[in-house]
Amino acid sequence: MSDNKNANQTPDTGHSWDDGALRELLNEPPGWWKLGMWVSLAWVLVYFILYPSIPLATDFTKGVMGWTAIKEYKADLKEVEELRAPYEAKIKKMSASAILADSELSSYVEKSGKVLFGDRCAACHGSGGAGNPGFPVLADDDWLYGGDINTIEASITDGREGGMPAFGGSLSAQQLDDVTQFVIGLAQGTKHAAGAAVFEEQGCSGCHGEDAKGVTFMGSANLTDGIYRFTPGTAESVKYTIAHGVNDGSDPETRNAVMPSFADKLTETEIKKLAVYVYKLGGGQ
Amino acid sequence: MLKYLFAKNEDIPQGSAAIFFAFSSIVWFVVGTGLGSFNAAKLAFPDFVTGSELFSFGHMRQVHVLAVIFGWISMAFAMAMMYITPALGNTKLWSEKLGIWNCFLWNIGLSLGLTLLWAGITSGREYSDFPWVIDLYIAAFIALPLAINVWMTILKRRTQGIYTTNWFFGAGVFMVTIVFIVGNSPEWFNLTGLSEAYMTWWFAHNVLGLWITPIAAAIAYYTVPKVTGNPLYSHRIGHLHFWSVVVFYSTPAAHHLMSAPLPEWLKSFASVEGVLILVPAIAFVSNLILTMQGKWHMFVENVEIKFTITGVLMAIPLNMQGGFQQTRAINWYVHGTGWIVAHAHLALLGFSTFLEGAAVYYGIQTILRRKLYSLALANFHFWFLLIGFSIYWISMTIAGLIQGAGKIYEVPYIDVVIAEHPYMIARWVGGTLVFTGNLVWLYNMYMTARVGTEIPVGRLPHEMAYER
Repeated sequence: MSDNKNANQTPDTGHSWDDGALRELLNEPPGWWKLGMWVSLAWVLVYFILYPSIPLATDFTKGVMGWTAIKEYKADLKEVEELRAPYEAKIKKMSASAILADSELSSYVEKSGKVLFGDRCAACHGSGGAGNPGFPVLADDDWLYGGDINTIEASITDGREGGMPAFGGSLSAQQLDDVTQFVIGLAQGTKHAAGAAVFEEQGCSGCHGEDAKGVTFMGSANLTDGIYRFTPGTAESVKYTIAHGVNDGSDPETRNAVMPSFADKLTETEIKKLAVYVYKLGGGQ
Repeated sequence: MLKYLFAKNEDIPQGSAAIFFAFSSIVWFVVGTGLGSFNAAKLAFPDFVTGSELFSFGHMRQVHVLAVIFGWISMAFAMAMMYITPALGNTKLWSEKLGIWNCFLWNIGLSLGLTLLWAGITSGREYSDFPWVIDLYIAAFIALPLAINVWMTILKRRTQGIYTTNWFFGAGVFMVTIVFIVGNSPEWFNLTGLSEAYMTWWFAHNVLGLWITPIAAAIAYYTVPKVTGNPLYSHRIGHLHFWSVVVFYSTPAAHHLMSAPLPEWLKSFASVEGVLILVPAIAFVSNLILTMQGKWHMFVENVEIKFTITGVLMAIPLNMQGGFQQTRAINWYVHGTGWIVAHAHLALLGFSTFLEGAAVYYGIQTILRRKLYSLALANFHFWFLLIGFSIYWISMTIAGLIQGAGKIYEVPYIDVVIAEHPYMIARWVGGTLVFTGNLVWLYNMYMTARVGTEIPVGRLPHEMAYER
């Protein structure tokens, strides 16, 4: 494309427009472009011979390869299913704890469990079980209901619903502050005598235990480990939980803590896979 | 404008309709890109404006899309037709009055349609979202009057032969009317299921392939020879471009539905057409690049050429993407991802917007005989558009590849959301730059109309660009 090559010597169409400002020259298309056009047309011809493409009166040409998209899809799917079949067959027969014990199956399940977890669990529990405000972290080894594989499987199958009565009505403001300070102090190793008294009197230990370490069969929280079910673990947040309780129908501002049952949403195999995956997230107890 | 609605045709100054269309299109562009920026903010920051149904993404998205397509792009086309078609025929517009009414009814109808969409009254089909009343209105009061005006002006020309630009204009207004009537057939015949899906994309693709792309190309066929003073390089290539689009590019709709259970031959047919678009596209690009011979300094110095050639060059990646992303081999990966969103913006915000921008810049100066108020602001507009668009396109292309990988490799959806978040923020930044540039443009063109230096008879606006 050297400068101004032939710009005014090629003849034009003999017409002009816009008061003579516009003319069209009679240049031929560039050779490389014509070559490209003929190659494209040749490619179309070959494509039409190979693939289903030309409509006829009641049918269409099938192409000499006999290819269709659905055939290709089914073949690919079959290949994947054949690869997975031996594992899936074993998982179906085994219990979650047996799958966990088998190292080959367990690493297979960890991979498919990750996909399932991402689709069905991560919306609440966060990617990789990292937790979200109001939803428990699954990637640590602190469990409300127990972290053994069978309990995790039961939690997924049947769901869980926490419960703690609201104490806002029965405690004075002073008592509420005291017991809050006591609970905060538990994790920090400081003692608050007045709060400890309220803890005893109001029957907090009835659920959280004498040592305040929680009772797994009730799902009551361990108050001494500094891991808080309702984040952030500030005095304000702890006080809110004590005042309004958890899932207490009588208090409209109560905390919500419901894990739905997945028994009718997932197959048994899928629940087993998830149980193994979640168990491994926390490192196992 | 209102005073001309009932004036005699002879009393309306020549070019009035084009000027009204020009300013309407700029205003719609500001509105459309403002909405785009707002929607992008909603995707980047999920807590931005929540709790109101009207401002939810599902209500706002279509308003953005249709405001830019039928407000900005189509009205800029109408503007270009109203002054280029008569100029090419050494004549005046067949009816200025029809043009003024056309512009008036266009603004009314579009505002009404977009308000309905905003309120959630929609046909539910992407791109043909307007309810049937508005579709009929558009066919009868927007597309048809425009077509009549363009055809009559071409028929009344005082030149021999028809210049390339007018072939496209004449065919484009015809095709868009047909696309509106036939493309909305699910409404007239209550089609459902696959037939509805197919007709939805028949409409959507043909609005792009038979209206937006050819008309934008036609504008370049005018602005480049006009501003550079060079004759168009090849009449023959123009022919090849025109006929290959008109004859072969009418049924690629099925390539939007490559995974749907449509007849296999239809998908092959559509896919082949999609690849073949490269033939006319490269013809168009080469014709204009060759026309530029000896005038490449104007790409830097002249604002209209800067816009036009940028648009023309964008046709290359646009058609490379468009040609190949719809083949079965690639479509399974990018279908339904941000890649497609990036591609759609390359077509509308990249390729066609730059060509229309040139037409509006040049048209306003030519008709009003006033020099551009500020060349600096025009350059500012150009760079904000180009940089904003580039950020948008690159970030959405990357986001699309991430989403595609996530889809194929069964990556949990939430992980994909986390991975694409930075690109969503980048897209918002890009969109906001475009919006800012357009505000500057509106100001610049308003000031041009009010206080721009008068252009003496016998001179052209671009010749005076650097005169004080």
